[in-house]
Amino acid sequence: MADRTIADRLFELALFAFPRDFRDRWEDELRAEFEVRREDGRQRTPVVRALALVGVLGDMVLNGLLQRWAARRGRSLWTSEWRILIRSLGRRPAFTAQAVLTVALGAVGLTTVYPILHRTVLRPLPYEEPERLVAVRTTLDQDLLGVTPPELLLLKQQADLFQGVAAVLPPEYDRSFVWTDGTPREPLRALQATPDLFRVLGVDLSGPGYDPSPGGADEVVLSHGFWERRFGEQDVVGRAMSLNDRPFTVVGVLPEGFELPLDGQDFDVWPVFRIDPTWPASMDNRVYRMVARMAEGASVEGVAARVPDLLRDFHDREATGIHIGSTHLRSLHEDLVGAVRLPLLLLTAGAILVLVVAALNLSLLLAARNLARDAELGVRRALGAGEGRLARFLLMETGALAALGALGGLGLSRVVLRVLEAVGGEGLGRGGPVSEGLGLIPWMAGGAVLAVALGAGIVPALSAARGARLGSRSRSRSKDAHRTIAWVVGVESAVVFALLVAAGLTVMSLDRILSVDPGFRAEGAVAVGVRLPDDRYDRTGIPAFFEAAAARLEGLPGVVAVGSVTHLPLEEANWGGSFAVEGREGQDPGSLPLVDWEFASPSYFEAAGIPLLEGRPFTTAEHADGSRVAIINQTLARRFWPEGGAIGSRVNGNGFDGNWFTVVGVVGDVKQQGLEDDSRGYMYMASNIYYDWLERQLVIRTASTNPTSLVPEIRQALLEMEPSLTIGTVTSMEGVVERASGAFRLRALVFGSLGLIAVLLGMAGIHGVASHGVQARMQEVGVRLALGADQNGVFRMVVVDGLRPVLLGMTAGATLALWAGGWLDSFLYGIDARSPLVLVGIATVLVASALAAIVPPALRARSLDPVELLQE
Amino acid sequence: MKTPTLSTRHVRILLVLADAPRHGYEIGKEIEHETGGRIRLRPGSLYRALHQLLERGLIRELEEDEGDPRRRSYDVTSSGRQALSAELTRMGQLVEQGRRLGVVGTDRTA
Repeated sequence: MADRTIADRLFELALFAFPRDFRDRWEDELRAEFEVRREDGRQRTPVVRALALVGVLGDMVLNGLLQRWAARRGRSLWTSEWRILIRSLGRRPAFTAQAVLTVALGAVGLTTVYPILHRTVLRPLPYEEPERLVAVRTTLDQDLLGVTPPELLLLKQQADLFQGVAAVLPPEYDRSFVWTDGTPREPLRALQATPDLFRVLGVDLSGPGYDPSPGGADEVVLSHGFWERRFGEQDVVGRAMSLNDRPFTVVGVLPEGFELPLDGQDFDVWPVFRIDPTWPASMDNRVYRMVARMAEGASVEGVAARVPDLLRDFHDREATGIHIGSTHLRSLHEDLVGAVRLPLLLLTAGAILVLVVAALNLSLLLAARNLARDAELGVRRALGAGEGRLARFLLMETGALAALGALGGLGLSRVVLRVLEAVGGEGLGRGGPVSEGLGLIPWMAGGAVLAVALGAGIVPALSAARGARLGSRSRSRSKDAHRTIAWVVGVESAVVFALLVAAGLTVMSLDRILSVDPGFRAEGAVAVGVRLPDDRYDRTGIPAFFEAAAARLEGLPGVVAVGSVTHLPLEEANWGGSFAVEGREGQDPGSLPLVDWEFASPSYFEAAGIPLLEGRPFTTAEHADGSRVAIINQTLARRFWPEGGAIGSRVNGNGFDGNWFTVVGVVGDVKQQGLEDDSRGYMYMASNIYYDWLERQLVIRTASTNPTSLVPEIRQALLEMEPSLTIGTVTSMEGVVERASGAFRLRALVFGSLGLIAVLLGMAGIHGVASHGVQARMQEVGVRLALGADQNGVFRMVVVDGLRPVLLGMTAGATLALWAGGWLDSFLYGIDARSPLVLVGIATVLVASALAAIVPPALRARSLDPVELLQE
Repeated sequence: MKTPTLSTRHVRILLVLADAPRHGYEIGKEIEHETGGRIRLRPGSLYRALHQLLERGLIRELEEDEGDPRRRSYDVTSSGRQALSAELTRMGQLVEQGRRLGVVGTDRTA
């Protein structure tokens, strides 16, 4: 009996594989057959019967599913709806194109900016338990600095706070690295790291990694990309590699995708450096970037509360005389990418606002179109299409438009990303070009666009489906529609206004930054970074070589003057320390201002086009013998000698204790830290006989408008003088200025484009609404005119009605812009985010363009013939 | 308008019904018998095929009130006969062609 029941139940189940209509028709016969078969099989063994049952049931399920599939295909309601849809979209190509373009333009911002945000900020850093990694930074005079070696060692001992403490030395503070195995010598991007760095980060190297015990041989770890590029992925661990003419051993290769985006840079090689406990806690040692893993269970807040006290106690105890402005600990993620987060978030917010404008526009477009084909929908409804089916059809239509638009936006964003990379270069993303290896991220943004666009279609679709009855357009419904449309226009105006303010501010910032005088004459000059080979030039040999090189290059046709300096203007790299004037030593060292210093050759100022305001340049003799003479900039001169008289005074920068330098000249201020930075105190010294610093930037002034055209001859002449010379970056000085304004360009470009798109979409929307509004009110206008309303009154009425939501929206937009201004301020230059000039200017532009959209239909309304109208 | 071709299963059912009207179970048994037990249509396949033939108007249901009310008999319609004969002709032509080309032996035994 149980056997029967189970078989029966299985039969019932299998029956459900068939569609319902089939079951209704065939169930009886199927069941009868099933029973007869079972009777027939009585004599068989249970195994055979069970197999037969399985066969019968399997066959039923299979046929049931086939029948379902065939039924669906045969009915093909969806297919036919799609066919109708494609035809209906094809019949109105202008509408289709406008809708798709609206979505695509609305999408392109988000599909461009979101991948950048994701790649640069949101993506976690590829370390083990990255939330336990922190960085400690100190500040002084608004400069964000690192920590000194004694501070590092002190923190390393705090086992209750840190499980491991490592450090890296940013390349701008130390010598550069050159691969000296081959010819020509190849400059590498190197980041020096303490032996425990990769252990602290929890990164698995292929290879043993640095030897943690002090005194080991020089070791280097290779980045995956460099290893792949230059060694073709062969086994290199244990191999010798010559860097700066010194033997290094390759002790590991980093895994693919590893990154430590220090100021957005990528590195080829990671040479080890070991902290010497005797290195002092001096200001010029405040350059080490600490990377620490917090102890198990420690919180960022808890550790951050302890570290400043520890450091202050240390400086008090050791009487280092070092003044710490403030100390703060933050997550490593924040430390590495925090600086770009705010601008990128603002851009993303801007992109979302543009999408909102596009969605509202799409909504208006669809609503207008549905109204226009009210009759068509009414017919469909009268022919039996239910409300649900009509709504579904309208939503399918929106979906198709939205999908096409989102795809268009994705396609556009590919192009835009490449343009941005070309313009913004290093300012974009981290770990390689943003346009590569994004995977599904842009599609996520595309999906969001699709969802928003579909959302925008829901209300018009539902209201059209509900209202689509023949002759159903009641007065109240059209009044409702007008109110909704006014709201949409208002919100759009608010968003467009806010976006235009952001666009205006960033574009004006760019304009201001481009008009900043960098303090040198860029046109006609080219800079060549060079590095002498190690161990061949002594402290007097180095300046001697560069003087000889200058003389040789000045002999080239077209070359006007050649100078050398340790760091280029705008390079954002420099040496520095606190500044002292002889006879005024009484001041507390901690309160002394910071001064930046460089070593410059006699003709540097002439070659770079830096004006000499007072005194004289260095002489060749001073350069060669290392005379203690200095040239200071105007800021320093004004600050310490407000009444004049700097020339002849003796000064000193921290690091040259006890050695006074006589001021022989005053030069104009040069923007060294970036175009937007205020000029700082600067001191140039005649030659560097204090460090065996092998690197110089040669600044070559030419008579040519295209100075880089002389580079081949310059290169050849230099290599003839010293075949082992490494020639690094070659840039025109104009290129240097351009790079310094890169971030401003990028923001102006992105915000400017977003603003432009927003205003285009906004105007299209307002224009559409205004002309539609006039169209819809023809009858009313006709009645008014017939009743003797004056034509100007009608004109005024249409304009005022059209303008009212725009003005209200703009007020809201201005509030929004004022509220968001604080965030914008941080990356503007020379203009206040709440600048009334910008607000009023944008308001004028918006009102003007709204009028341009409203006046033509209003004029049309004015000249209408009431008789004709009412006859219609 | 293209008429969908008949599947072998359809042809077998039409052939059996062309002989005499039968109900579902008998159709299955007859096919089994005719093919020497090689083809046994399970109920799912059989009734779906009947459903398709009914929908295309190639067979019809006979109205009888005798016997088991759950047993319904089916007969070939005239368009069913036409379709069957067209299909068999087509098959015959194929067999003929096969013979000409020597792919099918004339002495072939079942």
